[in-house]
Amino acid sequence: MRLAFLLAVALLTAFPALAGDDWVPPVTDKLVMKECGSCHMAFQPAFLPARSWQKMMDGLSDHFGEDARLPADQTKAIRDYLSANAGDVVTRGRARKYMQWVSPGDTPLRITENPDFERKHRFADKVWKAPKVVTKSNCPACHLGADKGMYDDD
Amino acid sequence: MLGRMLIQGLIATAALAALPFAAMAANAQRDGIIADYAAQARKAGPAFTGFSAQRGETLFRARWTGGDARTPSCTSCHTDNPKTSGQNAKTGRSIDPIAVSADPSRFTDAAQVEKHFARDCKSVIGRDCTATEKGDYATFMAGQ
Repeated sequence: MRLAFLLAVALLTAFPALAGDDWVPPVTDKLVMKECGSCHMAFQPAFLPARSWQKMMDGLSDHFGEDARLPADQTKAIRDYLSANAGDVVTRGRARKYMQWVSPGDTPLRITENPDFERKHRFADKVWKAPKVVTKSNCPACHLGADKGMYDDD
Repeated sequence: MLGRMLIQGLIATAALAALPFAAMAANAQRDGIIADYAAQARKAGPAFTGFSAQRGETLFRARWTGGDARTPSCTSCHTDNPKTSGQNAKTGRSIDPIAVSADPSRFTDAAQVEKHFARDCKSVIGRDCTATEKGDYATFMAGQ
């Protein structure tokens, strides 16, 4: 009995995906963590399909209104990482559910507009306007494990 | 046991001894970045006679209307006190203090410094900052 419990704990620690569906593979690349995490959290690439990341990296000069351009070598390295770990490539954890909502002809850029996101985030205005939140894309304001890909603390 | 304590003691001593060297290296890098801005400022016009921490503070606290409405001032994200943590006014992400006394790594990586001036001057003022403005700002923060 005790052994079974320990085994379960070990498994859940090693494979957090088993702990629940609110998990995506965390970002492990240092450059991506640093540059994509400079102004906002470095969002896990599993939340968007590869074609979205391609478009994102094509448009860094106007990145949601911000000039987020980077040197060409860094842009390429980040583009490669995000595309290789995109939701339609890894299909692990929550990525599967997110990808079910993306139609083949669509190239979404905002994770927060995915119906699976909206379904789980129906809050009163005052929640979104709380000083610690500021914007819907500020995951770690409420999800303390967001940078590790853990979103089950709701 | 005694040997282990001795080794730990040695490591701790070495780490302590290395600290001032790390700080000196950071200061040297920062001085180099400010010297580069001084060279650019001299090239831009003969009126330049050196950077001013006071002008840097004025720049830091000024309110502008040409940039993004969410960031009319440096203080919109860095707060009125550069020694405290701030918060990105657009994304909500926390920002480490910009004052060098609170974060000695500030203004030590030329590429990072340039990147952030490029983004933030556009966002706050609505244009690129001049070399004089960048040097004034860095000089102010180095003394904070």
